[in-house]
Amino acid sequence: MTASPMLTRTEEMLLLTVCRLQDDAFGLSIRDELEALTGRSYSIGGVYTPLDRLVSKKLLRTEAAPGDENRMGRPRRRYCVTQKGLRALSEVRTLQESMWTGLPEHILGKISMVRTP
Amino acid sequence: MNHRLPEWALKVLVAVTPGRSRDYLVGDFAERFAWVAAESGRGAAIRWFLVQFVRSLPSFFVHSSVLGGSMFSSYLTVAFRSIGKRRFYAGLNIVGLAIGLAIALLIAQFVRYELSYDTQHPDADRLYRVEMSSTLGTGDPEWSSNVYSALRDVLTTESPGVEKAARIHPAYGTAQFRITDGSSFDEQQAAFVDPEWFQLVDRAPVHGDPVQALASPDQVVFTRSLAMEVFGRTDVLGESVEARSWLVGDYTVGAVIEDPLPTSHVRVRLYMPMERLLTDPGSAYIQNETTGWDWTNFLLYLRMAPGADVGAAEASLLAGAMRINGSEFERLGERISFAFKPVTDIHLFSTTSSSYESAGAYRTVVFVGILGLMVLFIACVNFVNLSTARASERAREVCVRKATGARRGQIVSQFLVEAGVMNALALLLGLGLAVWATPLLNTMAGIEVLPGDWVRWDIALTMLGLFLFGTIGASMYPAWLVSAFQPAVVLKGSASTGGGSYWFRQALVVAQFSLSIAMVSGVLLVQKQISHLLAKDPGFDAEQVVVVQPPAFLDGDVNRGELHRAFLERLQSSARIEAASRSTNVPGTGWNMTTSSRPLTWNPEDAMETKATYVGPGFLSTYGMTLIAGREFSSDFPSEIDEGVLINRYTVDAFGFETPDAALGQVLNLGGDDWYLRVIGVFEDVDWISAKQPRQINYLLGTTGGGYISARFQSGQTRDALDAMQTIFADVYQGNQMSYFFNDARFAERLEEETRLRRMVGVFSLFALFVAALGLVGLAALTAAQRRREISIRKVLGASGASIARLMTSKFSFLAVLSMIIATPPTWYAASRWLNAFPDRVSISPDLFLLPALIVLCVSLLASAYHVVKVVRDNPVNGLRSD
Repeated sequence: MTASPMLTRTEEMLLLTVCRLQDDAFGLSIRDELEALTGRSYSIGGVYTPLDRLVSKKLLRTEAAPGDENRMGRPRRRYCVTQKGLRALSEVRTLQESMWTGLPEHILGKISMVRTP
Repeated sequence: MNHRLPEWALKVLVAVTPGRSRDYLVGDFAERFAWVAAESGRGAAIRWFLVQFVRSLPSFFVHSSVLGGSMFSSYLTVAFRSIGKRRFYAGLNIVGLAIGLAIALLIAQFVRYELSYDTQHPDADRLYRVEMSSTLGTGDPEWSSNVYSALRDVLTTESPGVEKAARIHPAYGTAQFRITDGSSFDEQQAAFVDPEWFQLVDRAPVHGDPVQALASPDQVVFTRSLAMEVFGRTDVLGESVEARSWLVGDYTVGAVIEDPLPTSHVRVRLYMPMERLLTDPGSAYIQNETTGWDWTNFLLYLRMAPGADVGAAEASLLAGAMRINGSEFERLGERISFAFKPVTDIHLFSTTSSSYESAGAYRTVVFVGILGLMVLFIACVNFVNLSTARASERAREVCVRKATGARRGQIVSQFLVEAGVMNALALLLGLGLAVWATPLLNTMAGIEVLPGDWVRWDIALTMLGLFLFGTIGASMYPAWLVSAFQPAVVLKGSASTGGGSYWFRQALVVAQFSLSIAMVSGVLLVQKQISHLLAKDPGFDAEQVVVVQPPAFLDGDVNRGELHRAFLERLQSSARIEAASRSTNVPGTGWNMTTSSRPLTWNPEDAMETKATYVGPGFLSTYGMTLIAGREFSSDFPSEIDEGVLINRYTVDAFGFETPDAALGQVLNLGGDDWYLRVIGVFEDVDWISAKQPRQINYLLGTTGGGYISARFQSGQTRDALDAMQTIFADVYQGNQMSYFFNDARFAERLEEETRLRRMVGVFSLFALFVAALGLVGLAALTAAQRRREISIRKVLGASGASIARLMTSKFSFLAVLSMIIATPPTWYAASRWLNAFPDRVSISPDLFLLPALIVLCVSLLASAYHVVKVVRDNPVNGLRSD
């Protein structure tokens, strides 16, 4: 079994967003993507708080990218998922799938009934 | 189009964002700002910026504290190390602050206690007491809480919005009772009350139902403490009690209730049925009185319905009173009006006199409260002063930190944490001191603060406030000052560190001196005024006078009047007793009657307000009062006792008699009816009740009776005379114990509020001065250390010890004079405000300010003396070699 603690839902979402954005995973774009996907809106500064927490857990790492005229020359911070982060994601996914498989048909039916509208 | 982030926004962001993420955050803001500006214009972008900025604020904080999380513990470590390293200063700082805080906390308790009077009753905000003003003749309206008994019915039947009303009639003086086993007891706090009283105020029953008990004319209600004192237990329902003095009769105990809280202004312990007082043919009320409209010994309390109009109820009470008794008021030339006084205001703001409160305590509360703030301020100034002075000592440390990469914010945090630690220690110590000193406060202020009163949310809130204020207020300046040092300059050793703070520190010292001077002035003023009042000749000499009240219970069929007469005669013939006399009241206790009077020749409507008391033959000589014309009552002229009157000097002037001798033989009318008296003597004005009272028209009427027997001792024979008196008493009154009091003690009680203020102001100011002195000790030590080199050089160049000492102390004299000039105007103003309440007051003289300045100067010189002497005697080589 896993030695590291499970990811929380928020952490999972953040990691997936970073993965999804690949080379575009800067603070601002992560914020926009999260808002588009989940409807949850972070403030400009607020989005860095959970991201930095993931960095301190070594699930993410950062690198500096040069900024342009729009940013008044300030650098950007790009987030990348580390090996440990990928492992944590895969653990979550395995667990999820093993939890979902084997559910009785009629329950699955009910759940999708609820979900559709 | 310009889509750049405005310059001010950039500055704000740079100032606020946490260092490590600053560039990214500023970049993010700038990028998105440009985008929003391009899309919807610059105004919208600025609005967007503001919203986003505010929303991001918490994250900036969390960010830095996440980073600083590990820093805090290291700040703490450093704080403890730095305190440990400078124990002397840290100790001075903490002790000074702790004493200041302890005093502030004690004063907070005192103020809370005084403000909490009568707030414990259910719906206390709707409870009122009826106060009545009556104007007799041409006099000023006099407000009193003593009203007519008939007003209760007018209130309940005619005043809208009055829910419940109840009367109290105190059993004036000491009521005496006897229980079945034959033992008797005295109770000062006995009263006749309406049963509704227990529905107005908070009195939880212990046994029985007090309302039901007092509805019956022959049941009484005891409080728990009285039941314990008298019976030794609380379940005493059905025990029988025999009452004397006010109302002779037999009662049974109908209920026992909890004692009223000490913060109730009415603290009756024995409740008797009002019904009995008003209807029993044996009651003093019935024997003196037939209607409910002339005996004004009742206090009337009421509860209004929620939201009811108090003004309307007052008006309808007056209308009802005038409709029923208006013609009688008119005949007496008396104009009346009513006001409902909130019960919660009585303790603080009462201006009327009744048995249940002293004069308003609010002036004491305000003065002591201000004093508390001043002490707190002095303690905080100390703290700032010492920290600032020390801060410049720590310049090197701070600059090394900076050189190795510490940011300004970190230096400030370091200082904040240090101040926080010191404050927390001081607060704990201060709280400990305050709790320990609570009994002393209780004695000093005459209050009852319990240990449990420290565990309250308002006290906790005060402590939190003190902590935050103390920490932030006391460390902000030093932190700001120190964190601004330029490392390169300081470390090179050429900068004069803390030069800018010099004037700041001087200003603080001046503030401290000014407050100290103001406080000492206050102490002197209060002291002066009170000793003036106490020392002022009241017009009589009560020092050697003992007052005895004869017993109410005598077995068998005895003629009590005979016994009293016999007792008096034996006193008068005793060798150790100079003079003795009877009266219906004694100085310091009160007058028997307030009415109006006029010379026979005046019109009735010009009659003036008059206070009168009945006294027996020899009264003036017993009390050492000065007769300036005529003679006093004497058993040799029995007709004068019935028809004569003694008047004071004030009356002679008020009635326009040429001289005191001219007043003799004049006929005066008393009370408006056909009561005429002839002046047989004039006595010098006296302060009958208290030195606080203005002069008024006073009559002494003649009697051979009276419940008080006063005796003047031969001087120096108090002990023997008292023994002799007790022997005579026991002999005459069948072995009863004599209950007595010294009249001057009773008189001094009238200045209770003032003496209480004097005690508190005196003690607290002393501590404040001590705290200020502690600060000066620290400051002097620092100055001496900082100027060691300079002074050594001076010495090497030939400066004498005296000139060095002068150099170091001349500053204090200058500061003391400056402080005196600053402190004088506000203190003068406050002093005259306080003095205004006394008709007879001392003048505010310059020495009231010079003396405190001198005291403060002496204290500051003493405080610095040790270090001055040390510097003067130091070998200059030591001072020069060390660098």
